[in-house]
Amino acid sequence: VLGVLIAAAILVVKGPPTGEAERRVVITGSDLLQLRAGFVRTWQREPTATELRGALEQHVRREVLYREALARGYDRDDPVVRRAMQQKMEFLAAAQGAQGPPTDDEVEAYFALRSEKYRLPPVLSMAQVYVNLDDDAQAEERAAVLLARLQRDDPGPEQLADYGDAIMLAPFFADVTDVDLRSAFGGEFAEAVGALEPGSWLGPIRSGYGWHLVKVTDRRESQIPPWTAVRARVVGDMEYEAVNASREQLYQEIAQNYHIVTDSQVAKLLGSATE
Amino acid sequence: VAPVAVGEPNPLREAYFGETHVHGAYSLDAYIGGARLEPDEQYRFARGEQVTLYGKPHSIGRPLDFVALSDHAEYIGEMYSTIVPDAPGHNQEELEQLRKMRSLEERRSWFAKYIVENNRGTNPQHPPFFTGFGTTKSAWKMMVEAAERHNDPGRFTTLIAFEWSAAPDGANLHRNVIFRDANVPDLPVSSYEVRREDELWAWMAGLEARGMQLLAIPHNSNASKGLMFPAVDAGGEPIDLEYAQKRQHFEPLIEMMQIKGNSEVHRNFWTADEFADFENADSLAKFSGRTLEPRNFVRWGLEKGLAYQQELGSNPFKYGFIGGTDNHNGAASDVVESNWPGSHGPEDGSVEARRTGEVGGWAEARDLNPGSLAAVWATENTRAAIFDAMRRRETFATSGPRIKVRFFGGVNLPGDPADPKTMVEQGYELGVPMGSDLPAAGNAPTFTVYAVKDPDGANLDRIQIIKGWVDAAGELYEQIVDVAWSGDRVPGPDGKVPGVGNTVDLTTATFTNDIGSAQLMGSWTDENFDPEQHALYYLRVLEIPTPRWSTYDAVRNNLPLLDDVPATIQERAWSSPIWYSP
Repeated sequence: VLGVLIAAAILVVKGPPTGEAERRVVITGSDLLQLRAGFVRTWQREPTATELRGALEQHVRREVLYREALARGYDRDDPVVRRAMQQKMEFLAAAQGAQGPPTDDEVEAYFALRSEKYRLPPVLSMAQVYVNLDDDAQAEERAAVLLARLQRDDPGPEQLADYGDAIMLAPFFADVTDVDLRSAFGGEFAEAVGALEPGSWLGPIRSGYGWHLVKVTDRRESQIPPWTAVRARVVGDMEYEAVNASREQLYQEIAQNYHIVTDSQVAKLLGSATE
Repeated sequence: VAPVAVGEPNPLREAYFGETHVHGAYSLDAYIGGARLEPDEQYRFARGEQVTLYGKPHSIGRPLDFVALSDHAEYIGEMYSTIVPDAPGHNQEELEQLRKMRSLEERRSWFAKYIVENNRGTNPQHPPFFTGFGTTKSAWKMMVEAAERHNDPGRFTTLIAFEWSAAPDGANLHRNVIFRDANVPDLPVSSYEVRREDELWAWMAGLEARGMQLLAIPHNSNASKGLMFPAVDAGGEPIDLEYAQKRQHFEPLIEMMQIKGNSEVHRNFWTADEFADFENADSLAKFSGRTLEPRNFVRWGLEKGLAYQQELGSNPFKYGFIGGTDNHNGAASDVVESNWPGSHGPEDGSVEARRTGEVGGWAEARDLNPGSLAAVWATENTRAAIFDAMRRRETFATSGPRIKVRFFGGVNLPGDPADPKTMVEQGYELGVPMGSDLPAAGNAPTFTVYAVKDPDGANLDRIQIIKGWVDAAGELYEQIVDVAWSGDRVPGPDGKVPGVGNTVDLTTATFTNDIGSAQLMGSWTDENFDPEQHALYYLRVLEIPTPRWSTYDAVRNNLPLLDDVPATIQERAWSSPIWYSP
């Protein structure tokens, strides 16, 4: 049956007897086997003879149209086709980038080269006392009086509740980062506290809620953790990077074979554009 | 060197903010719109990192505490074929088209041909380019692995989830299904396998019998054509005790608000509620034959639930409140009004589209909003603690800002709390928190309330308690009480506190915090309490007025304000209710 089909196919696609090589479409047995496999994958059964013939006809039809489109140069000037071909290259590169999980040695080596990226943020501990804005005019003055009291008494964490106005914020924050402070107090406060000298009561410092008197009790500068402590993140970054890198690598490899020439107008246009 | 320290569990609980409803590249409708964020990038976005959204850098600035990516289970296999180059079926022509489409018209006609027409009728099937459950399994495995990779106990929680997206005759019955841990089945379930909600609960019961823990969150009751809070089950039989018990068990929470509207109430039906005019998304009723009726709204559903409790002995609609966006750009909790880039690809992805376009089959784009934020009161930021908070309904939703709200009730609860810490300690010791039941009692319960503003946001206007109850005949009633408010405003003769004012400058889209308050606290005793009546109480907090996203859009682009949507809004938060049964 296959032989008959192929003969018929060749007849169909031989087309106008121009004799040019690019007008010759050869259908092999393995082409047909592939068509059959595609059918089975979609429909979970063998195709009937009619269905197989139909698939072949469609294949031939597409091939002919494709060749003709090439002959007419559509691959060169159609934006949709160009984009599809570019995308195909990117997909191929992404697939190459997706490999198995990296070994410990690879993770460690990757980390060693980029350890700055995994630097832990500075961490601080601080006590804070809140002054609300309910009597806006006096708030700053109250804060100043309170600051003097705090500097005199220097209360421990347990006594802090006796000072200032009530709010649903802990009086003491241990080992917090800038992100933690931003989420609890807002950006303005986090920035100001990040610049405070540790050891004494200072302020008032403004937050989204009102005024705060603050004592930074401890500050640990940022440090680089051992790679084992951030292994999962490193592996995630490696995989993420591998896909992007192989995309870029494939491009660079291919681009080496191309010589990019720009005419004088390009430089002029680029020069006149605003940054 | 230890990594940054993680705190001890807090028995008084912390508020954690997150997302329960977001679609990325593995949701077919999102992919068609151009969404290309896959789970790894979606998690990075949720942690506050910058990602590229339709060619532009975008971030939410502040990290979330938790996130559940909820891609539509229906097509994750098809999307695996589409996205992964060596997956079965990758080279099919339909998928080639899907990958290449550029224009909105192309996308709409492809979607109509393969999805909409395919899903019509009573027996929808997977589209012809589905190559089998092997691809669904691969997609789900990839999603579970990504969630595992990004889960960072104490700092950032990833909850494994999917959306079951049944829409019989265009009525939205969608549920987001969320798992407690990585003990999950090999496959999620889609509306192709399970058509209606009762079958979904049966599927969930099967997993529970195998030791898995999961819950389902319905959403968009406003688009349910009256089917979200039905009087009859999927088979047309009046709902009964078994139905009510099952629904209550599997669905402890409901999504209060999202991009396609706020489902709490609608101003047309709640005329006595002066704050009911908030992101009503009126144009939903112009599409897909939807209806605008009271029984589509959460407050009605919850009050009706009391009537069923009385009649059947169990409340089928015993919902706590949670937030979510339903963002189809893959961007979790992209809820900030001042830099909202839209939510559904090109359909609302430009200023022009947001002002004049529509999100196909859903609503006019000008009617949309950025969606709501989910919040839980949990002892620590872990999967178990956050899931358990959801299970016990100790949750609240906000329309975007990170407002924190506390709400306790109890017969022995002292009123006039001295400070928030004491209020919370007494609340847990002598009363019950949001999401709980008041014990049976003869005396009037007292409720204590507290709210604190978003530290980077607007001040607060007021805290209200909304009470719903049912009489012996099954009639529904409600009452709205202003409990705490900013400044020295005096309630009018009708008991209502006058408006807080408005500082918004519409020519610059800015506001000031010269009005309102950073925090509000108070208490209320229900003097009309009738121990024989079923009742529920929930809290609503309002911010002072701020510009709506459409106002920011107009000012940034020097365009006139839209005349048929409000220029300013009062953002808000809703606590889960506290229920009482005789």
